[in-house]
Amino acid sequence: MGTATGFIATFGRNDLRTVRRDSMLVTVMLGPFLYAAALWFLPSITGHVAREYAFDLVPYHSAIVSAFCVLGPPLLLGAVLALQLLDERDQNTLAALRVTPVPPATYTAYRAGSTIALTTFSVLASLAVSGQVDAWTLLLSGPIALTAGLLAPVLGFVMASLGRNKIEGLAVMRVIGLAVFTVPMIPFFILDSPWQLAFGVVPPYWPVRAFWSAFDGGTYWPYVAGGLLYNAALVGVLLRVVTMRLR
Amino acid sequence: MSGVLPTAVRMDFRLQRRYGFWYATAFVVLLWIGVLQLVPDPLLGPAMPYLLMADLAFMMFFIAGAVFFEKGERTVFALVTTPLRFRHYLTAKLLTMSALALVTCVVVVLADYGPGVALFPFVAGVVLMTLLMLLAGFITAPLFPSISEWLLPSTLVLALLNAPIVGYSGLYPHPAFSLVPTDGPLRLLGAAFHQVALTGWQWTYAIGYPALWIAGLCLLAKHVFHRHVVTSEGGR
Repeated sequence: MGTATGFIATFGRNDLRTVRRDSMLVTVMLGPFLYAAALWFLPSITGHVAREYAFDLVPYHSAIVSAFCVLGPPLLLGAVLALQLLDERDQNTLAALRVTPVPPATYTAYRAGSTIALTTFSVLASLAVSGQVDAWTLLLSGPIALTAGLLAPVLGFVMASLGRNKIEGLAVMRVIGLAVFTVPMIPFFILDSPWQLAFGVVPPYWPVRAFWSAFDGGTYWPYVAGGLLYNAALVGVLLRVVTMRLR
Repeated sequence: MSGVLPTAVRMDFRLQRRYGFWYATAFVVLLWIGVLQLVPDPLLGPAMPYLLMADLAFMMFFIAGAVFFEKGERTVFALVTTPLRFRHYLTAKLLTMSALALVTCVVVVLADYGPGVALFPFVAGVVLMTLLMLLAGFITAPLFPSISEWLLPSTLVLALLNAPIVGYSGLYPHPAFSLVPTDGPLRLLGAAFHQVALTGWQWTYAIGYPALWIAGLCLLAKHVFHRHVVTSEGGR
């Protein structure tokens, strides 16, 4: 255990040293603000749609906010994780690590861990900056952000395992990106039906479902608990898969 | 058909298939067709220009991915030693990628909206929008050492290219938005789905202004490619 912590500290120190060299972290921090900034227009869009098309967007606010702030950061940071892993494989960094005393899964686990932390922070920051959620909803969003944080490596690992290289990874990302923004939104239209639970097989369902309850009221904890367990289990399984695939 | 350009086009189509772009596109088309069934009919027309614009934005990632990959695998340096000129290389990429984008849009629109779309502004809007997105990716990608470092700056480029939505939608109309080259293609898509009616000079602007940009960006692409890809090989 002690040595694993040591390895992780080494990776972390190395990352911090390179922050100055690459603009990555700065732009990662910008991400949530871009998502949040899009939501500053939500009240005027709502008014505009009501005037122009006589359509009331207010019942859809929780779905719109969740798409931008709860799904956006894990998708973006998951894609960054996948591209980093594929890049490092292509540049043989991962092969270099194999001749060091670091156990094979430690590096991937470290990448997943830092992605979870960054995504959790991004989700909370973007919700806070969006101006669309009250203090109570923001408080309830803490565990939701962690669920969304776990979603990031799930998406990133799937992208990195399905693509054999960067460019196939991008093709996979295109499909996953659209699927993540659309499929978990379908249950929003059938919330009264027990069939909505069937969407629980798709990992992004849990954080958005919990967010709708936090925003509009309703059952909340079962979705948070389900999401944390399911996504954490998937991270564990996919960690093995991706470590095997990237060798 | 023989000659350098047709050969380059054939090669790019083959690469697209090998990269998995065709499978990805087939999945994406099926997803769009399914998801758009959920959009209420009166909102479908107003929503289509935005959805197509969002979908076409991904072409920027595809072309950037191709640039990074071909640089990393060094196939691009092999091409430099062949009779293929830069204009053939770029034309083949733009042609094959816009063909892919156009086919995607045609299938999705026919399946969900029907044949009521106005053909000329639709095709012109999709093609001009795609070319702008492709060139934005092609020009910015070589400036970064790896795709993961390019990914996030690219979202800023994307935000700029999407800015005309704010004006077009009627939220905050401002003449400054018409300086962004994607404004014209967005208006063409609006006309295609009968959301806006364009007057004579608006047609000229919506087609001519992005076309000027595309010509300028092609020249810039040559410069960037030569400086950051071709000559960077010597620095290794």
